[in-house]
Amino acid sequence: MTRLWQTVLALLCGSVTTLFGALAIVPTIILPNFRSDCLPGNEATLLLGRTLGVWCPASDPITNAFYLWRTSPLTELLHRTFFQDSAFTSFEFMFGTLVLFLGLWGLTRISLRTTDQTGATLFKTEATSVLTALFGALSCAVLYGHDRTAFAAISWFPLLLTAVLSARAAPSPILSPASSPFGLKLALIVLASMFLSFSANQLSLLLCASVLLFAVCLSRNCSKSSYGSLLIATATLLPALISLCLIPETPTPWYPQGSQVVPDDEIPGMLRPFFGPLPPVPFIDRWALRADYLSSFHVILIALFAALALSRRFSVSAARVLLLCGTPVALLFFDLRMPEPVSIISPLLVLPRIIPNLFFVPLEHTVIGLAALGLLIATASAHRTLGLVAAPLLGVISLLVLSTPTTEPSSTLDQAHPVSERHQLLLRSPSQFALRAHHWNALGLDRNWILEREDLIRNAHFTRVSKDSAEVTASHHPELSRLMIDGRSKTRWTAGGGSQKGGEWVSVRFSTPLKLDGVELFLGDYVTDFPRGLRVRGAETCDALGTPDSIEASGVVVVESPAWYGGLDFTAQGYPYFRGRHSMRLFFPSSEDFQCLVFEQIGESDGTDWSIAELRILESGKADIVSDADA
Amino acid sequence: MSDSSTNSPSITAPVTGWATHLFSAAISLVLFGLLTSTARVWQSNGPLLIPSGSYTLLPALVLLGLALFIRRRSPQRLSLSPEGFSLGLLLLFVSDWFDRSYNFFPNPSVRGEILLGALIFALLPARFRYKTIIAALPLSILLLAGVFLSESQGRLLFSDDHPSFLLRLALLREQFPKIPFYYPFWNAGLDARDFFATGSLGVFLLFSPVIYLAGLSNLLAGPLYNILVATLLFVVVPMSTFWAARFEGLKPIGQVTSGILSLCLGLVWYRWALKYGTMGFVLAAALTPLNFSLALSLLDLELRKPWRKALLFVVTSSLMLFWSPSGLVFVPVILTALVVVARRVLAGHRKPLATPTLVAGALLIAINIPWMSLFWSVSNVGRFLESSSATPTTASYSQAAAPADTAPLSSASLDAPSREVPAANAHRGTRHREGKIDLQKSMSLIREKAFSTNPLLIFLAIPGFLLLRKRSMYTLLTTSAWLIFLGAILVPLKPQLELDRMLVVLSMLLCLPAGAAASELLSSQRQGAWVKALVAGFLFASPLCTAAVLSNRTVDQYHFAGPLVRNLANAIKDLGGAGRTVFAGCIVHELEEGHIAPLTLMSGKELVASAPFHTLWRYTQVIPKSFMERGDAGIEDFFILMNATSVVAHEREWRDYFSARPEQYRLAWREDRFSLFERVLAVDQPFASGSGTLVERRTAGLEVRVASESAVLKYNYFPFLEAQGCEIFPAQVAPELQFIGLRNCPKDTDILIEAGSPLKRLGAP
Repeated sequence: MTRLWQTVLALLCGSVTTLFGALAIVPTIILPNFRSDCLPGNEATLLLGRTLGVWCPASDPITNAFYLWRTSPLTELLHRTFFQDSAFTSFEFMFGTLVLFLGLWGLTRISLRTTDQTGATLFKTEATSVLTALFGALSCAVLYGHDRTAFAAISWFPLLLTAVLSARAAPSPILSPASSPFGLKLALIVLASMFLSFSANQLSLLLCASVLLFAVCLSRNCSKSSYGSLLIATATLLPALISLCLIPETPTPWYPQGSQVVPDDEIPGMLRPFFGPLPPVPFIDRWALRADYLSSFHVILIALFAALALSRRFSVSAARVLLLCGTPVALLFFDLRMPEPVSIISPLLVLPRIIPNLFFVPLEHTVIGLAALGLLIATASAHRTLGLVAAPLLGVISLLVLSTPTTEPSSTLDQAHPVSERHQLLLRSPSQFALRAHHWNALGLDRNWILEREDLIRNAHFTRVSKDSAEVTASHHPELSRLMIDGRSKTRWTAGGGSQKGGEWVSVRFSTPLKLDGVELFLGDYVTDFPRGLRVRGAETCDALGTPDSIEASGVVVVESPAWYGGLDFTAQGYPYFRGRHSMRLFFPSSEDFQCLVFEQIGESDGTDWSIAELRILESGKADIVSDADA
Repeated sequence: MSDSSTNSPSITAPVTGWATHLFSAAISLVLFGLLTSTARVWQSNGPLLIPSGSYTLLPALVLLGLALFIRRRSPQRLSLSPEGFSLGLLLLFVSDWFDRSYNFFPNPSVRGEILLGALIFALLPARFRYKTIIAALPLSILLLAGVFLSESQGRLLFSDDHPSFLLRLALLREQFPKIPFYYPFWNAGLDARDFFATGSLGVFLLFSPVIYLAGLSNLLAGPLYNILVATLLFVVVPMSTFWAARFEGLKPIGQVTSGILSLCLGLVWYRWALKYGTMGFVLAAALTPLNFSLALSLLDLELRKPWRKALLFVVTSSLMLFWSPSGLVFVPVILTALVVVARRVLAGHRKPLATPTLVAGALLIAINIPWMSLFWSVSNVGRFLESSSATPTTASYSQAAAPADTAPLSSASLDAPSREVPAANAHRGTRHREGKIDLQKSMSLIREKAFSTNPLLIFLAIPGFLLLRKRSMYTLLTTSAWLIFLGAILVPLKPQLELDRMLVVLSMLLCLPAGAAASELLSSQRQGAWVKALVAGFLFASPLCTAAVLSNRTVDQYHFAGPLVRNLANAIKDLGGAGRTVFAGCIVHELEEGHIAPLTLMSGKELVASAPFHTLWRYTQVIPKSFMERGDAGIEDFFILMNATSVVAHEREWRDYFSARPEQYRLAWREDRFSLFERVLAVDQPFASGSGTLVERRTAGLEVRVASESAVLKYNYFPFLEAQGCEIFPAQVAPELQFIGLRNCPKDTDILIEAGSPLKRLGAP
């Protein structure tokens, strides 16, 4: 069999197997976890109209990221033309996997080719290329299938890299026939870069620049002059730059200044990009992000060490492994493992500040993918068998990543119960964390309770508790507890000690049971003295002031918030948000009669007390009562 | 300063070695201590780094001792090296410098950008580094211009003086070269003469082809003016510095670095340019390095391309001098020129200066002396310089007798006002307080400006001085000292001159030595990769920080016109009646943070306000004192004398006042805090007495037809006004109002009232 036929056959077999593999994965892994569905009525069309695709708001339930995303116009076109009957998401996934396979196949072919391949050697090379690409593509599909954004971004990466490498390299018999002119290769680069850019959207510049870096590392014998290199770089980067310019501004809901929709990152001020679109408040939950990607980071780190350890044995260039895989891993290390004040000056948080629109999209998943691809390419390019080992390794990583429990039960929340259209909208907005956090805080309750109580929350006016109608005590400094109900916000009860250790509590007993919708532990001027975590228990009747132990049996938990994010409120458009952690407005899921309430501090903090300047209540049916002057 | 040495660097070859580095590090340390005073590690609540500036003296002495010790062991000439001065940058990086308020760096997290820049530079193959730095200038220009225009979103730049400047450009388009002239559209006629004081002429002449081609409506629309500003800031500025560096003989990297640094001077530069809108000053400052460099090179006897340089010098110097205080900057250059000439004469040179230089000097004088004389005469510069801060500054548009000297709105004089308005002297007369020289305050001012300035200019300029040509080095050192004296020490003596701007001019000039030092460091084969990377990191972060300024992401915010400006202009045009519209109360920056000056052009109507331009620094009521004292009747009389058919109220007191009198004022339009009230009983009557017809209002005068023996027009009288075929005289209609009186006019003949020849005003009192 001639060389050409072997290649065509290998390619055909590989493609078909990839498609079948992808098809097998689709129903089991991909579909239930798709997140960035386009919402009707929220479409932002491009300058060039629908021909270049439709931008839709996408949201990430793990990181709370919210951004505009557009599916690849090529994918849309193919789907509309040939596969209109199939589900678009399945088609998109399968097409992405196929593109990934083709790219990886090209890469391995370039890496493994030798000058005199004939007979069995040629067959082995073809088989290895196809198998490595097949395993690699399917593993990536598993790894990225649940993240449509990252998968779309990464799928074209190997193909562009192949195009760039073939243009940089000396003429080769198959991929770059001696007859093919440099101009044609450049055109191929532009084409591949265009497809990548229009698939990767905000991530395009980052990925195209990474392609160039990968190409520099992989080039064995670069035959191009600096002029040629400049042309290749321009052909690679220009479509990405154009694509960046075409991204419309994300239509974010308005949030008041100083409010929050995700837990505070504890960095003073708000990190903002130097230029380009800016969210009104930080959208990305850095805590969740760090927690979520940590396991995959560790796996890739172990894989990197293993590759380095085995590099001499299998004649793999350790420098190449370090450059292709070690660099992304190092970036991830600074981003995920270092304390946040150091992380904010790490490149993964710097790039979003200097590339327009990138500030909205978390990069970690893409960089993990780059590290994995880097490892695969570095090993496969050096050793035929190693590539075959590295590719399934990707699959193992993927499975580990998928099996890692996320910080938030995103998929279950989306699937478990039917929810209202408005709830769906909010779950795909930057307010999704605020919604979820309160769903979790209110134990065992219908998740819609916040939305049902929107009017109450929006118009809540808490009234102060009179000295005559209630008595209070506390675990620490009980002699100061009367200051909580003295009507003066300048005075306060404080647990003291300069820190919060957990276990501090405050108890209040009203003279008669009151139907309450919520309470406010007003901080007055002591805005940093909020409890880091809070549990509220209430009892309908009680004879004496309660303690956490005494009320445990007779009372119910009405609020449990292991981390305090701030008092809840709604924007004029109906998006929930936190008013800031100094706001201690607590809303109960339903109106209930309480005579005794016990507030227990369950968090930890060094350097700040827990204080309460005034205790205020929200009595049911009295929402329109204006609070006292302190309010 | 011998002629033979002028083209060679002051130190034949850069002196390197540890002694020099340590010596430089010692100076850098002291400079850091001087500027930061108390410094902490990393952030403002971090551990103490130095309790006060003087604490840096001890480690500096240790470093100096080490330098001297090394020098004794291996004789080296002590000099200054950029590597040593990079210690200052390193200290700045690890200290709480980034946390200081009004910092050029918008956020302490900018350390990440600096590190990334350093990393990229360090990892770049050596052959790419040179190309990357060269490409950085055009990329920075594109980035910054793009960010600015994208931020504008097609809206007109409207901060502070920008609208006034736009009006000046539009008026110049109509009237140049017949300036100054009488402008009847504002405040019942005013003397339009501040083209001289504000430097508008320079900007106008530079962009005149575009301004003439575009037309008035395009100019007022917004995008064109923004493009002019962007061209000035992102093309003229870097190109001027780039060419200055080229004339100074800097290497290409030095030229490019100087250009980049001029784009990234600091927060104060963009405050003056975008927030305050002093475009005349911006042009003058932008051209300073080029003129400095050209002036010094013209002193050489053997010049390359002498005529080209001479011609360029004449053009750019004239453009610069249109902002007249820029002449002060060149005092040391003039002294240098005198010394050079004197030495050559004493040395027996028959021709102490080259012919092109002499021609350039003569041309410069011939072009600029006429307008300067006129400026001195019509603007009462002498009186302005002698005035104290108690008087309003730069009363450039003199308002004959109308609102300038009026009392504030008194709550007693109105029925409705419920809130007391600021008293007459509640605000100071200028931005700075008048006082005596106070070195401590001067030091504070320098510190404040230092935080707002790009630190590369501070820490690289000093070693960079030594890398310039000898004559340039000495002159630039003298100029720097002179500018610090003017900008930091002399400010309280003449606050009306706002001499603190000289520190901005200084930072522009420092781009040359800083560029020279950066070039020496980045392009040399010296050791110290981390030092190079650090400097490259700061250089990488500089355009990004500037982009943050342009994106309004720093404490200094500038503004664009919202729809309110156009809506207000349309409301005045459509609903304001045939007569004038009066802005009640005191209006300064209340309309979209800018002056209301161009509203006359946008609406096509005559307007009256306390201050359409930046002539007020205290609350000044538009209605003169004598009228206000008479209560409602006085207010009504004033409106009649002003031929007001509508009033605009933006202060609550005035809104309430007009709303409470529905029989006299009817609300016709409202948006935001601006309300337009029609004067119900008003009749458009441009004559205060006598009869006649106002045939036409022109940009520079009036055309009337008088039917009676004599008549008084409701327009301010100025002694320079002339009326064809008529006798013109001042008619005192109120203690504060002096209108145009006409008598012995031919019947049924159009009479043109306009300013007489500017030459007649020379020497006039």
